Amino acid sequence: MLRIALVATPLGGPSAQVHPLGCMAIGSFLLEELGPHMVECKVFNFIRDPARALHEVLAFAPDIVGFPVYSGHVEEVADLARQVRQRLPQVTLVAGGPHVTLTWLDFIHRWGGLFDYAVNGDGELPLLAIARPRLSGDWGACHAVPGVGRKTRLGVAQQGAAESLPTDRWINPFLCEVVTDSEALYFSDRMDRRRRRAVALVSSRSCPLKCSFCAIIAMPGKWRAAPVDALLEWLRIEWVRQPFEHIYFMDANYFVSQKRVREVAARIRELFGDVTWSTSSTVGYFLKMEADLPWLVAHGLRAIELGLEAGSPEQLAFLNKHASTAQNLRAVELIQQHQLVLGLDFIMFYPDQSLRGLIENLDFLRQASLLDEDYSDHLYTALVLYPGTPLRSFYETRRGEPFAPDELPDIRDMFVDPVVKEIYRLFVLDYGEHHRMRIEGIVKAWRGQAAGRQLAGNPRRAQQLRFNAIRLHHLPYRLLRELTTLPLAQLHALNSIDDYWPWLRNLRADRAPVDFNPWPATPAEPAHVEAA
Amino acid sequence: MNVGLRKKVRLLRELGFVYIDDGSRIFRLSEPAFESLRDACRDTPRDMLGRYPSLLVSVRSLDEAERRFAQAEVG
Repeated sequence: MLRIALVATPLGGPSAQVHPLGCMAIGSFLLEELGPHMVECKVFNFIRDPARALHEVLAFAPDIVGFPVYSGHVEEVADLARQVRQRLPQVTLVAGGPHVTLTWLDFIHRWGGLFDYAVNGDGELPLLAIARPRLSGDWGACHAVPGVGRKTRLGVAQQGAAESLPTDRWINPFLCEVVTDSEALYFSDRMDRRRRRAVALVSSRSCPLKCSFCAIIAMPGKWRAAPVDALLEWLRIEWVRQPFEHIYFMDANYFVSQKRVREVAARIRELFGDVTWSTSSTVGYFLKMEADLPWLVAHGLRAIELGLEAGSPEQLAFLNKHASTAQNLRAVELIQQHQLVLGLDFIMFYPDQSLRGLIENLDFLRQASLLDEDYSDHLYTALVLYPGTPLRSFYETRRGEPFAPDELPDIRDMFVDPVVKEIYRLFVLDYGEHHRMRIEGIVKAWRGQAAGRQLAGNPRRAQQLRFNAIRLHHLPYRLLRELTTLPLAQLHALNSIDDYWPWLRNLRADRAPVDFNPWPATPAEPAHVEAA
Repeated sequence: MNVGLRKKVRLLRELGFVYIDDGSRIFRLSEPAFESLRDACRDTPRDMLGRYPSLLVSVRSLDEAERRFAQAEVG
């Protein structure tokens, strides 16, 4: 019996309730191809605790260990791989996933001494090619398979990237066992006011668009999707095994085929009744389904992660987003109208960000009524220059040399506009690092205190606390907006945000003022009616 | 007939929006939408009272209605 362990990364990161979907797809494929009498496959999902991951993997005594590698976590994965190698000298170590695919030849040069194989592209066929000789002993065929790369005494040996796995060979990803320390996956359904037990899977791979920052489209293969019949059968089998109430479609761009979206939604309703679903989309594809939205909501759509990325027209063009600010506004408006949960993908800072672009982004958030979103990550998000992307190449050309292949460059010294650079320093690097978590904690505490006072029969104090929480929740937006109004000399002179708002450090969860209002009145801005 | 805000209602103007707290939960309106609501309270009071019973109440005069809107403002 061959034992294959597929180990989730990034290691040391936060708990991942969504299991590693790529590992699940590959593990299930290997089980199907080789048969459960020949191979035992397990996915190990212990990313918050690398020591536990190592312990569990070693206890499984695998013959092959596969690691999906993400940019920015290469060292952590290599560290774990080294420890596995030390304790299991005969094990075959395989690296794959996005970072290996995006930097393949470099990766083999750098890490070929540690990993026996590095996989480029869809991992199913290369892993199968690596697994077979562990059973037969004949490694010749494996080395001729596209997507399987290795370091030899003569250099890098490879036959090009793997072909995309034909969609009719995609396998039910729930076949492979996942061993994990994460909590069960749920979806909080605001519409139906209930918590739904959920499953997550990928129903399509890649994206037809060419956004200049996106690593997904830098990987080989066109957009492709699981056949609808197969997809529904996987879900039906899983539903029988362990009933669920919500499906997360973790696709890069689920709305590419409108016909398919409608068909899947109809079949979900037919097969599973009340089961709801959520997914992600780019703005253009989402707007193409505008007329279908009431029907989709009636057929279980509850949340969409939307790749807005910017409110500034200049920035949208730079990112090669085929959507205008007006379209972005319309998309958000539709989501709000239909009371869907919005997942907001936004890039506030990038090296060529202009002051005008930054202000346009902030004004967009206000116009789109996005100031009261629970999460405020979009205020702090900086462009990540993933390997293989056009923007990484653009900045490498500008600096005259490539970035280190495993490096995700820090953009703090790359800003063109000195004002934006200072704003980034003060807002992201100072406020974001030193105040953000504390302030968000106080907002949460004041909301909790408001609920407590309401229950205790003190609605007036509860009201004050609710208003205080709203104002404090807006604090980072106000701060960022105010920084855009300051002259460069004043920004330079500020060592930290404490110099600008000294009262910030005195805010405390247990000392909510009667009327928290440290700011002067601001001008009005139009938008529309909705519940806060 | 005239309608004004209930005494327990408070209004917070913040970043172009008006947050209306009816004593147990908050609604958000844009400034223009809020002004439309005020206008509608003058023009179609009975209709507005039916639509927003947790926010509005019948009052004796237009002056009182205006006063209640002003008094509800915080900050």
